[in-house]
Amino acid sequence: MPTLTNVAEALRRYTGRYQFLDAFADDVDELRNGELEGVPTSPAGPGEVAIDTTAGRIFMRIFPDQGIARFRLADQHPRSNNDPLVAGAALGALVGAAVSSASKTKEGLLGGLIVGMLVGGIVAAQEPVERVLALRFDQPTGSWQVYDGPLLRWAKRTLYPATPPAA
Amino acid sequence: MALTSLQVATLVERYKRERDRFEKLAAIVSRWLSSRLRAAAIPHVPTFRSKDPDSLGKKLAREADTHEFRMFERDFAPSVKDLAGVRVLLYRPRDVEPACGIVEELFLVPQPDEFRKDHVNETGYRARHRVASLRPEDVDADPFAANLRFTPCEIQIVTIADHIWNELEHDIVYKTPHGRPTDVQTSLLSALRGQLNAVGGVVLQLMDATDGQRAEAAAPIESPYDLRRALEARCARRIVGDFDGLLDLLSGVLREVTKKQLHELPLSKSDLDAARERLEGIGQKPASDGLDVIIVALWPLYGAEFADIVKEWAGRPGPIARLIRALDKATNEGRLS
Repeated sequence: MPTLTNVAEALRRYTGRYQFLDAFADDVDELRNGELEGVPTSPAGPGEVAIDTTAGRIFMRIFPDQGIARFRLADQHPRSNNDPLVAGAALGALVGAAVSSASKTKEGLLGGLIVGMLVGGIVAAQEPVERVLALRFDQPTGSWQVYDGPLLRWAKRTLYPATPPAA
Repeated sequence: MALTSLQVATLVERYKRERDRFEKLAAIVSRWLSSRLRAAAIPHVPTFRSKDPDSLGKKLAREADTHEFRMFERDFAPSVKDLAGVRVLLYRPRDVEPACGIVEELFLVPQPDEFRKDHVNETGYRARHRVASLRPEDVDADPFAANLRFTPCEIQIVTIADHIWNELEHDIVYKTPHGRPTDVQTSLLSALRGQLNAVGGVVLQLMDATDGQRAEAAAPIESPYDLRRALEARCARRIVGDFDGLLDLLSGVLREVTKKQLHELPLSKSDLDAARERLEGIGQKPASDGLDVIIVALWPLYGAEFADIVKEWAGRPGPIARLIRALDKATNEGRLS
């Protein structure tokens, strides 16, 4: 199961082409196991929380009803010692709700497959076409690979936060 | 006892001092109603106004016999209910009933008939009038609306076609000396009604056709056959090739493959001509009607992803896989961007 560090590594690998990585909340180790308390977190923008991983700082936004966590790199916002710690109980409840929703949404369809969706605006295009690349987490190598399997269309429709990506 | 001229003037002056309140109410009602109509996918044009003081003066003078001054002691309502007014113009007659339903849900419309008038005359004025006020719970929730409690606002629901007729007839009734149309005007109003009915029918057909086109453009393309049809329409040319493979590539990089998305991709004639030149530039011979030019046209946007996706394909590489490998190689060697 990917960790928050794996998420940060994927975002870093696709920097410049993709802005977000969306994943089911119960597919991310620290979220599923309620281990965010042990991870340095602080409030970021509205609805977001900043998380420090060994691969750098990322921002996370939770969509509790859809069971989705949306991540983006936070290179422009290096951690400061003055950052207040985010309210643990509130974040825990939000994550808990998302984890619960995620397992219901998946209805056991994915089996052991862990998918993530890279989302970004188009690069060098005149018209705004959303760029969405599906990834699967490869457990043995601990890395994300492009996913082109039979559940691709289902995953793209389902891993779609209610809020469109920021421009 | 009927209103005197002095009493009418007094009421108009009082209204001028209070007019801002009615303007605010009309703006709020219009905004809320429009928002709900939009959510219900009802195309409309909202307008609002507070009554012009001169218009109020003329109305009170005209109806002086039916009013008593003491009735206005506390408020203009219930004697005058249209100081705040909202008019919603609809494109389709079939949206009138749902729009009225939304008004009833969103606002407080008292039960007596005087607050609810359906003008459905086949040959005359047509509109639905509702006299509504903000619901108490909404007023309680918004301090800004505190002085609007139980203040009435007249909401008119009318089709655009009927509105044209209503306005022209209104000018005759209220702005001519006797308020009665001449024979010529009557004849012209009748002709106009017939023509507006015809216009309404065409508007309806046009909107239905547009809805159908929009739905088709947004529908996911899930078969090679549909992709071929959509691409040939997009590129205005016959195309042959492995559409199943191309659909796989496009499904990999887009949220959904739809006509709308295809239309937004750089696949115009000039894009394809440029792609053909780039393909020739790396020593590939483009087919006159092949998919290779399309893939090259998309390469600057999705080349890296196409290369990754093709690596996942099992079995002996087909034409698309071979082309993408060649393009990837050319990109890595700096011969293609």
